[in-house]
Amino acid sequence: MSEEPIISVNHLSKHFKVYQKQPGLMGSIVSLWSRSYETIHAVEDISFTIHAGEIVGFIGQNGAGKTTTLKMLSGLLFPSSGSVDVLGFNPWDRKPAYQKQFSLVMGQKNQLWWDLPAMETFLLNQAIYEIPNLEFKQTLNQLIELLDVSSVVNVQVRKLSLGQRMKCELIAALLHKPKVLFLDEPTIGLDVVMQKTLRDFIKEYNQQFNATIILTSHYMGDVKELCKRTIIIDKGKKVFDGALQDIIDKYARNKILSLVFSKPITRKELARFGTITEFSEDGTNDTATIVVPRKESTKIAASIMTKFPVQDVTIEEPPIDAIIREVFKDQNRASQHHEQS
Amino acid sequence: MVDKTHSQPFSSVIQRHLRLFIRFRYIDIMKMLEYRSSFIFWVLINILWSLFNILFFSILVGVSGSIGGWNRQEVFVLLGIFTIIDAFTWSLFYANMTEYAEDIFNGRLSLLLCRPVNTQFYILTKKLNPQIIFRLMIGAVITLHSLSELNVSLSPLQILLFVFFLMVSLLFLYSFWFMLTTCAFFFERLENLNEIIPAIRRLWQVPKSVYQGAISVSLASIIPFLLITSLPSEILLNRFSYPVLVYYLGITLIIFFLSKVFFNFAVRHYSGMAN
Repeated sequence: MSEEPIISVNHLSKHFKVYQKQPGLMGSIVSLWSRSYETIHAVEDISFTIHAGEIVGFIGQNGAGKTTTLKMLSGLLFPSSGSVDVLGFNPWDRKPAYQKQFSLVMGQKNQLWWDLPAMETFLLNQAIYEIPNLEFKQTLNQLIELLDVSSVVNVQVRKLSLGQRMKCELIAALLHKPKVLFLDEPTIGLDVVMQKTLRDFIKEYNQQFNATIILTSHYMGDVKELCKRTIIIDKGKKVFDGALQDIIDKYARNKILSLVFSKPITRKELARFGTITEFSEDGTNDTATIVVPRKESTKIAASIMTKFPVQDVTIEEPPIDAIIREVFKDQNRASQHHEQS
Repeated sequence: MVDKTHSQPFSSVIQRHLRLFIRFRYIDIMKMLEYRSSFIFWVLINILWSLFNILFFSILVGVSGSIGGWNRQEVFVLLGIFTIIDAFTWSLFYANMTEYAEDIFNGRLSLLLCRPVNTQFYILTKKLNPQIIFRLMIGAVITLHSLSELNVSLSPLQILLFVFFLMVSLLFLYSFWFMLTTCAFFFERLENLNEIIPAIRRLWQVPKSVYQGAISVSLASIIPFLLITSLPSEILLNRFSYPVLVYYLGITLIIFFLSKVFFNFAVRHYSGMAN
């Protein structure tokens, strides 16, 4: 990892004025001459730096400000205050020299020409990004092979599945080998197999090209598998920036014990050790899942093993989604407390 | 590691945009070949529309003898030029401005703004319906036929001036239309924004001398819509005046400059939709 950060964000804020319509027909009529606006603090005083080759997960609920931040980093939105430096550029100068070095992929917007095969979009991007023929062919072949889409690039885009389209979108976005990649929910709507394929591809691309990647996703699997570092934003504010394991350590209050018993046991006996979330008695191998306090998990597991005929035991962290929910609950509690005081 | 090359030679920028223009045209032709029946249908509509237009003006001039002091052949020279400009109105401006407005509303403009090309160029040249060729041919035939009926012999200067001011008219029309569509940045939805120019284009389907008083002053001088077809026609008919040409060129360049300034201002206020 180099010393100089590739991306520096300093006290970045973006505020929007949003029209608030009064309900009903009268509200619509009144809105013809009188409209009230509310200022939305989409991003509020966010700062962070990212180094070359990092993959950073950007997590937040809907409307938290993830996409707005990515758009400011791409030079699409002008910030209300603060500054951004990406690859030594001020993004909203919209210099072609900067635009040639990054790519923004939005899972809900496509750049492919709907009525033509994806190959035509690739050729168009070759012209836009001035990619020499040989380099274009090499990169294209490499990406086609990595994503296994050789059979679909010459098929009309409208006839492709969502997953195939997303793969082609990624190829179109990566043909100019961007040093910085902003991925805004690239796996949205995809089935689990396709999600996994895209994750593997992103990981491979990052390693091959040492690309710096910011990824937003609602699928925690994406973040867990790809990002060592995570930034969590809530209501426009950064609430966490660090290793994913640190979130788990800080916010996961419990661990999950999955148990397999060699002889039948009673639910009542087990309930003394924690909260039972699953209990199955099939007469041969009873199984149970219990949630126990994180700090005492090892001690409780040892107690259960001495008191019950345990055939197998695993101790797991709770799902990352549940932990992130805890983070947001914690933030809500903190902000409510702040408002009350 | 970091490439901070800020500027490219001008020739390289031109070449890049030329290559992009050619690639767009390939795409137009490929799309046309994908939907052949639609293409043939629209060619028929275009030819019929142009023929009905000619028929309408034949009847009008036949009844009145002249329009705004222009005789039948002179009116048809103007009608030919109107048909040429109308070809661009529908096949270039309307197609691209409609898509531009939609891209603003649905946030797709975000993808376009990220690209290392001149955004205005991209928006203007993305689509050029190949059927433009048929309207251009009809317009050229009407103009040339009417000029031959008038026994007009054109000097090289007249031809140069005509071609130049035809392009000035297209630039004027484009700049005004682009500014109008750019208003979409500031409104939640403006469905009919792109119907304004097609609706008012009838204004320049007749010689500017048809209009009198305040309308003439405002539409021939302040915002010179009436010069769009009248001025190139006057060049061919050798009844132009240089001060008017210079004035029209000046106004067009100002509007073009304003369209760029307004676009840059609008982009600063772009919200790009939520996602």
